[in-house]
Amino acid sequence: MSLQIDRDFADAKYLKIFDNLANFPSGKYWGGALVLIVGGGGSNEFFDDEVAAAFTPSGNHTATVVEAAIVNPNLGLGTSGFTLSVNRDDNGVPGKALTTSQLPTLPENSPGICCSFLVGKIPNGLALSGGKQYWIVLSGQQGQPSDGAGWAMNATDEVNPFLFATYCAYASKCPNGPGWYTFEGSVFGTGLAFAVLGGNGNKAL
Amino acid sequence: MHRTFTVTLAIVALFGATSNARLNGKSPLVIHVVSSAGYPPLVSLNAAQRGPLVARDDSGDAGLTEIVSNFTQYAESPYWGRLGYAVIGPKSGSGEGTEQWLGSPFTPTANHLATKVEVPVKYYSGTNGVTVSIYDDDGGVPGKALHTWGLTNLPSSPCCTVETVSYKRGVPLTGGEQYWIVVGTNAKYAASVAIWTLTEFAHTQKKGSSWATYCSGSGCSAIGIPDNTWKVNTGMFYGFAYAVLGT
Repeated sequence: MSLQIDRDFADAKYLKIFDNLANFPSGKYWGGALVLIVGGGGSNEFFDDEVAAAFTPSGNHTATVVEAAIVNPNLGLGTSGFTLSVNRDDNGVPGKALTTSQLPTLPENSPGICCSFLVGKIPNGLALSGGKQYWIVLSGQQGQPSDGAGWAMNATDEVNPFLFATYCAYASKCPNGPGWYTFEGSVFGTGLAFAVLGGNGNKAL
Repeated sequence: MHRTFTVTLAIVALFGATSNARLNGKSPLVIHVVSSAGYPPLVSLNAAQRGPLVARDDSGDAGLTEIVSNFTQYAESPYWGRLGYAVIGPKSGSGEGTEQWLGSPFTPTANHLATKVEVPVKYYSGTNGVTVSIYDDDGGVPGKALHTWGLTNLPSSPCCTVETVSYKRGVPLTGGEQYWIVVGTNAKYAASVAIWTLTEFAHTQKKGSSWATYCSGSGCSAIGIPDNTWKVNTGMFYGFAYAVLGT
C-alpha cells in the first residue's frame, strides 16, 4: 500500500465497498472531534497507541484504495512513526495485518478543521470476502509517546453507531489491562470517517 | 458576581484549547475536541439527559424556497448536534441576571419573503424555550428584530430533529443585504439555558465562521463583552446550523 495525503481525492469512479464520507457542500467528515492516539506504548495523558475502524463488505470485492480522515491533531506532538494497515478480524478486534504501510507524515487541516485525508493505494488490490469483518488500523506502536495522531468522526450518520476500537497500551489507564477495547459510537460521534474503495468480485481471501 | 457567571459557564462548558475528553473515568478512549484559546466555550448536552437519536424529517419544507440553508443532505446527520454554544437566560442561575444570546449572519441572494426559520437548538436546563428572531443588520451586528418567535419543547437529543418556527405573513428580505438569525431569551424564557448546534458544511469547516454574542448583565465583563452589547466573534472554527425558507 502506498500512502499519500490528499484534500480532494476524486473517489467517484470507485466502487464503495464501505463509505461513510459526506459529499459537498458537506464537509467530508466532522473535523471537530478526533480520537487520539500516541506512539510507543501511550502515555499518562493519551493511553492508546492504536485505533481501528471496522467494516464488513457486502460481497466479495477487491480493495484498491483506503481513505481515512486521519490528521495531525496539532497538539504540539510529533507526526512520525505511524502505520496504516488493513487487518483481518480476530474475534471482534483487529487481527493479522493483510497490508501495512508507514505514514510519511500526517495530513494537516490547519487553519480549518477539515477535509484532508490519508489515502492508501493498493496497486494489486486486496481481496475481501463478503460478510467478513475487517479493520482499518492506525498504529503508533513503532513510534514514540511524543508522536500523536487523530482520526476524525464521520458526518453522515449520527443515528446509527459504527464499530471502532482502540488499543489501550498504558497499563495503569487500561481498566482491564492493555489490549483492544471496542466502542459502538461515543458521546462525541458515532464513529470514525473512512472509505474502502475498489472493484467487484475477485478471489476472496 | 462575575465569578458566579464564570462558574456557571464552566458548568456548561466542555473544553479549552487543547483539552481532552474521556467518555468517563474508566474508558480508555481519548477524544480531542478542537478549539482555540480565547474562543467562547463549547457546550454539550449532559450525558444523563440525552434523548433518543432521530433522523431529520424535512417533509414540511416541501413547496418552500430555500433562501439560505447550511443543513446537510443527510437526514441522519444534517448538522453536528453534539457540540454548540450556549444561550443563557438572565434567571437561569448564571449570576446577577446576566444573559447571553447568539446571532448568525446571512445574506439572501435575491428578494424573498421569509416564512419559516429552522434551527437545531437543544434544551439544556431551566425553562424549555427560547426566542428565535430575524434581525436586520446595524453596522455589522444585529440591529432591530424584524420578527420574533417563541420556540418551546426543545429536544435534549444531540441529533437530528430540526426545530421550526413559521410566520404566514412572512418577513421581507432584500437580496444582497445582511440579516441575522438570533436565538435568545425573553421574560418568558428567562430561566432557560439552551444550546445552538453547529453546521457541518465544508466551507465553514475549512474557512471558519463569524457570528455574534450579545451579553447583558454584570457578568459580561468576565467573558470580555461590554454590558448590553453585541460582540462579533471572527475566525471561529465553528458556525451555527440554520435555514431560512419562504417564497
